[in-house]
Amino acid sequence: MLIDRRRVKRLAIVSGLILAAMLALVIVLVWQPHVSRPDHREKPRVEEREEERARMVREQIAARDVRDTGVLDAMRDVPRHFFVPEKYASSAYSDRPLPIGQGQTISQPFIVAFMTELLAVKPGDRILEIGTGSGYQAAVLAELTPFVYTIEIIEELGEQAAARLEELSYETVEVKIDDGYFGWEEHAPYDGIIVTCAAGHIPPPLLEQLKPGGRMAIPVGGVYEVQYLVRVTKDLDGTIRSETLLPVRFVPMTGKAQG
Amino acid sequence: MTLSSSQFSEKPTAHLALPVLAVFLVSAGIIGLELALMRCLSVAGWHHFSYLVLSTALLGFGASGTLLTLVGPSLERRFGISCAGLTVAFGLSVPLCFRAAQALPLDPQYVLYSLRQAALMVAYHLLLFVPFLLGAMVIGLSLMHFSKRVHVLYGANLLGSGAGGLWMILLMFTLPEEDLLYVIAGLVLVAAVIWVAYGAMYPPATSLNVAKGIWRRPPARLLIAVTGSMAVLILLATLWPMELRIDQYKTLASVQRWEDQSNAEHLLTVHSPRARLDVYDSPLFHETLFAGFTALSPPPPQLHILVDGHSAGTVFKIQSPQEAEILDHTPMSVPYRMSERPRVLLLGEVGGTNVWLARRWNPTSVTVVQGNPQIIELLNGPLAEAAGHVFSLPGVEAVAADPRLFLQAHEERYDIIQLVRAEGMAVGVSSLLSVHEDFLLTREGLTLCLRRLRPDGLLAVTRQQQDPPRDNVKILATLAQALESLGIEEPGQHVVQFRNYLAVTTLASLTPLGAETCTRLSLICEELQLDVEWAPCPEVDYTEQFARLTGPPGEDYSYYHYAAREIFSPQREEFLKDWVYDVQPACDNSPYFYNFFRWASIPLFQQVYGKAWFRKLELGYVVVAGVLIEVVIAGSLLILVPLLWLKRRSGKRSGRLATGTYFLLLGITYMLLEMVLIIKFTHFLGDPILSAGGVVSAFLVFSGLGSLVSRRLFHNPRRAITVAVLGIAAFAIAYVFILDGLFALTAAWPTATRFGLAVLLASPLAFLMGWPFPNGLTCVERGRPTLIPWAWGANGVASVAGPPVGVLLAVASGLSTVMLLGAILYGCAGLVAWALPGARGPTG
Repeated sequence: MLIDRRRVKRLAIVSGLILAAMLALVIVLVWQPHVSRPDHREKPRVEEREEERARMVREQIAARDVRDTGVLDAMRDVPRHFFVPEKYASSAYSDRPLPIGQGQTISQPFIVAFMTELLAVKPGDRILEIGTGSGYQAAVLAELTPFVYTIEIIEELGEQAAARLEELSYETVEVKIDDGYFGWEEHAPYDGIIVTCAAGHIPPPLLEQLKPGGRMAIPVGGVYEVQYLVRVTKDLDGTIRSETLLPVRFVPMTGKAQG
Repeated sequence: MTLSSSQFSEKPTAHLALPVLAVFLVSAGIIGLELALMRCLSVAGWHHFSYLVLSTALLGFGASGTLLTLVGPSLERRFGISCAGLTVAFGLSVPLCFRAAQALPLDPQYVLYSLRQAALMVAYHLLLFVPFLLGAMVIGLSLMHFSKRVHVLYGANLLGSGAGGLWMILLMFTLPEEDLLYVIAGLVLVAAVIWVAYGAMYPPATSLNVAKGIWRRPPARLLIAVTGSMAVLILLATLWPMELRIDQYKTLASVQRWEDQSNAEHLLTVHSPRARLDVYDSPLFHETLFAGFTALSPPPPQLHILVDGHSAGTVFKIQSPQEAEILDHTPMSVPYRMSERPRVLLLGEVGGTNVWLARRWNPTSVTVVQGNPQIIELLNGPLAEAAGHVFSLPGVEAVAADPRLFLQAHEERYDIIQLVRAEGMAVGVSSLLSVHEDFLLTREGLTLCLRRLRPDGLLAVTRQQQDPPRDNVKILATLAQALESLGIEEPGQHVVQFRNYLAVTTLASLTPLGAETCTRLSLICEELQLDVEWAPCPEVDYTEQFARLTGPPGEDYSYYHYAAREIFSPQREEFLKDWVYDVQPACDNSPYFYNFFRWASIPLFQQVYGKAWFRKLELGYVVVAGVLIEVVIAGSLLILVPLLWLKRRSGKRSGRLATGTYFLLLGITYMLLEMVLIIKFTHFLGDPILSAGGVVSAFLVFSGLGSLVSRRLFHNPRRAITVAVLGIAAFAIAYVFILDGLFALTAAWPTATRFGLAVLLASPLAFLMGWPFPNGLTCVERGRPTLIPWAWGANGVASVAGPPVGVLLAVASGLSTVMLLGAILYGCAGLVAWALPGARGPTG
């Protein structure tokens, strides 16, 4: 029996086409092209008041044992003075909270750094912030990971923060105006959750949306009350544990303080 | 030549009627303003700030004396016009100064950081100081002008103050706080009309050119000015209603912002002298009442009750206990899990959430005791349906009574007594938390609670956690003493303390905790992920914590466990002495549970917390001390400046020292005794309204009557003073020993009867306390009439210093000490009176 060469050739071409089509299909289904997000580190840097920021980091943050270099760099890079009202701009790098209107404050720089360090943010982590406020904390987080989601209940504040973050090229931060108590289920689970508004307790929905192995930082206590910081972790088996933190260890009996 | 008041032809008796009436009304206005401002500032601001501002404002009394020393004679020459003008200015300044103060962009939180804010704070104080200065000048000028009839004028002052207090308290039930200011202004302007009438009917002696010149112009112009002012006031009230600017950080301000965004609904507001109650509904309310990590579902929809702008109570919008599942995850649920069909007593319940908690565990009965009857009226009235009729469910009884009085008057025993009041801020008339008296959280109060327990019953106290531990350590120490006072030698065997990350619950029982109870407790704590900090149970691992807290260096347990171990050991006293906060148990003689301040700890807090050190304190005590320092400094200036002036004018031997000392002593001691009696009567009557409105007003009225009558009884003012101070000292000393016992015996009497007894006890003391001031002024008038305004001012300064002195002493040494000190100081005043100019008779 003679082999019909033309038939073989035709068969080979068709097979090849089918294989190529299958390969193309596989490629399309499996391969996710890299979404071109702006590199959260490649943004225009604000040079004005750089020296003040450097001094702030040196004297207020590093001097109080915040060691994470990513956090220190972020605090150096984010222009805090753009996040405070004009009349307080001169005090933007002072060691204290400042009012931003609507009964809210921008936290003392050390507290922002300390809470950020508590979250141990790695590039690629998904971080949820409850209480956008001025947007400063969100900007600091965005220096460490692009996936920052922040919720603000006060419309005016939320809109201002969103505009400000956009203007300063923190486009990866997503801002939502809503009740942060219920978190943001759409982007859950989160590697880290930070609650920056005055909280009486940790909302159960946020505990649900925290990834096993994830961390949460939350201050407890109001503006004029005794305050303390709580770090919450979720074990791999889902058990929730917390740790109340002070900036320094307190030793009442001996009357001494330990750094 | 100094013109003396007698040259202005002090009028015969019949002509005193108008000035007496005017002084009465102005005095009523001053006290009314003080009370109204206290309400306005409590709602708009924070209590510490309000106390500070009001104390400064009252320095207007002292300043009036200074001004009158300098310019009083000039004003006296035109007495009628001066009083009319000052009264008009006082009336108009009431709403205008408050408006101006409210318009200042002050943020008290930043006063310590910002010079601009500090300057705004000073401006705020000065604006509120002005009306008191003007009002006090009217009184002082009247005392100067009618120096020979000072008893009558001083009596009118006290009677007016008493009436003004009572009137203002009644008005507070019907009008919003801010509207009270316009009413006060109107009353004061009526007094201005009376001054104009007086000036028209009785012009000063025309032998003086100055007087002649003035009265050439008819008083009609003055009448027009007064009428015009009233018209302006009416226009202001109508077209520019007063609005309180609520501090932006208060819960009320937040909720109002939500309301603007249509995220909250304002349901109602109730005004009263106790507090302003606001009720809001919002889907953004998510109170879980200390529920821990095991609570994975959100709480039910809820309303909030705000008291003076602070969150005070949560009302679950549910119809059955099944909808309150989240409460099973609170540490307060533990005693219910350990009991079978308990009889429950809830002391200080506000919104009914603890009733739902009890109902989830099938109680035999639930008794709710709430000291503010308006809370019960709300829950049984307009909020009843939303609240699921929680206070009128079968087996639930709501009683409007002071919790401590309720315990004294009723002998029933309970399986669970929950001190709900300790779980949050006290509801009611509350100035500064740390110097707010609480007779329930004292050794005697907790002993009484324990006496009302069944043998296996549990007393439960839950309080928010603090770091470093503070309140819950004090609770433990107080319970230890209470148990020991019942003859229990090892209180540690009767107490358990556990917590989650939010709050600590302490349970106490009359019977030692046995093995079975320990086992049940252990299972419950494991289930709810609670950390045990103290339990007389074997094999409790204090190092394994769900919610880790700091502890002593090198140890894995928390400071809570450390504190509990020390309290139940022989080292208790040493521990309580050394702890960074004052955690010595409060007692009835010093019922300041919420005071934790320790001067010696300030350097440590500053070292640890830097500029934010004051956030670790309950600031009430600090503010009171600050006020005292401010009053001493400002008061010293106010007293010394006129001294220099007087020295130039009146020569060396002018009797200044005796006069100043006498009136300073009177100012302080009057306030010391009044303060102690208010506190004791509030405790006895169980209602601050009855105490402040009824007893205080009665106090002032009887003092006024005493002033009026004393001249008739003793023509010799020195003798009158001697009799008065001896009587006052005798009563004060007697009350130190008999009042508490008498109150305990009569605690079960009806309220009206107890009120009558309180008035009966206050009246003789008050009557005598109205004598020393006018008789002292009579002496001064005879010897050195130029010292009268200065004496008035010194007395004014001292009366502002009195309350903070009293509070600081009461916190440090107890109410009995303050009372005894008052008796001693009155005695000293009696001795000094012998050295007053004119004490031995007229000198010219």
